[in-house]
Amino acid sequence: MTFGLALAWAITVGSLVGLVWWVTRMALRRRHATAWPDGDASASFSLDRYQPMAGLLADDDLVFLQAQPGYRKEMGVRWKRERRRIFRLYLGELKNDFRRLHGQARELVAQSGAESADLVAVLMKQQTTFWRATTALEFRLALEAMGIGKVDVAPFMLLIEALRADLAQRTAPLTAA
Amino acid sequence: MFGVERALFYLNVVAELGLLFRLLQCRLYRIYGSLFLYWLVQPIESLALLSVGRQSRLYVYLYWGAQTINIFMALYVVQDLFRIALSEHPAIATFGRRSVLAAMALAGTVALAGIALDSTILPGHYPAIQRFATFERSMNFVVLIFLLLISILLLWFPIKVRRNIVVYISGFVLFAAARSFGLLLANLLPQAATLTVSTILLGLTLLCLLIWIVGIRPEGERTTATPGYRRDAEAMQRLSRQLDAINQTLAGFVRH
Repeated sequence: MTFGLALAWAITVGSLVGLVWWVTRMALRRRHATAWPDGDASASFSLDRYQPMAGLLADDDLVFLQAQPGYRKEMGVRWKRERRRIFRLYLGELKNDFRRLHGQARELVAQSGAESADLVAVLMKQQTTFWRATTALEFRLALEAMGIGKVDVAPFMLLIEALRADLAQRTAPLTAA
Repeated sequence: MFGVERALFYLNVVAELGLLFRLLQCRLYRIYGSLFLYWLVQPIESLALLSVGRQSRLYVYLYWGAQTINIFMALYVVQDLFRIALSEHPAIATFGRRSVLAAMALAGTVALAGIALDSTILPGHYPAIQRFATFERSMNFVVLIFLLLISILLLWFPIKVRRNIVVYISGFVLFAAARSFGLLLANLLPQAATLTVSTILLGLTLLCLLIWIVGIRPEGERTTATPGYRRDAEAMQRLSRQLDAINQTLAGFVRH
């Protein structure tokens, strides 16, 4: 089998399997989704809940720990591992909040008139950005666990900023109505 | 095997007429006009094919002509399906109309990537027939990918579509997948397997027709209202702010 033919099989079967898997996953998720009361997720959401996450990634506490008498290297390793575990728990909660809030935004757009059509693309872009952001963060956390690099992604940050500006501009007509 | 294939062919014609009758009986032929038209053409094509000898050149030309019409009608059917599914959601429908060509182009690109899968002509196969089968299966693959993309959009939004539309999409997914991969198998397997593949394909087509006959019902037209907000600018603004805040928080972690 030539490389070209192998690639053709990979694209054909891969795209089909991928799309079927995606449809099935979404259908199952939708079937098991619980309806939330109007405005509940949005009203109860607070970003303050995630403030400790920033501290979890900071090196200050580790530097302090290293300066203490009796400090051993394995203590630092264990401390970092625990710190990453807690960070992931927060990240999981943040993902759930994003899903609920984004779900409500989609519901809102689904019930809107034709003039809100642009928001569909905005929401899609927002979802894609979030997927990319969380995947990159998980990947960097995994690398950090192996002692490779730190969680530092400047291009990702620029992407988020671009998304924020785009959304603010596009939601203005809807919010003004 | 030839007898089974023949029997399935006749059963398909009967099922096609059954589906047409069902759509007329339930007065759904207006709503699903494209589906009605698609299956109205099928028995006519089948009768035309039956009227000429199977081994003749005219039969091949008629078959090619009929399948070409079917392929382009299938493209029309899925686009119409997309329109019907989104008709009660103006914002998404407008977005859908704008992006339908992009979705088709994406589906076409994926299908084009697989065009070389059956480029080798096996002994006993006719090049012209094989090339046409490649064209037909690729177009069916376009339809299949497009239907899956529609399904993803419908599932991603909280759109509760009519039950009949779910049955309609499910049947067409199975139909397009069967024809796409059935024809690919026919081209990849030796000539001796063609009759078996054709019999399986007719069996699957019959299954799709039965799904539609049984599944499409007048009560399947009832739309369940989607729970949640009506148009609420304040709620949208608050949600947008909160979603932005989440993404900004994530960006903040990256700075550390």
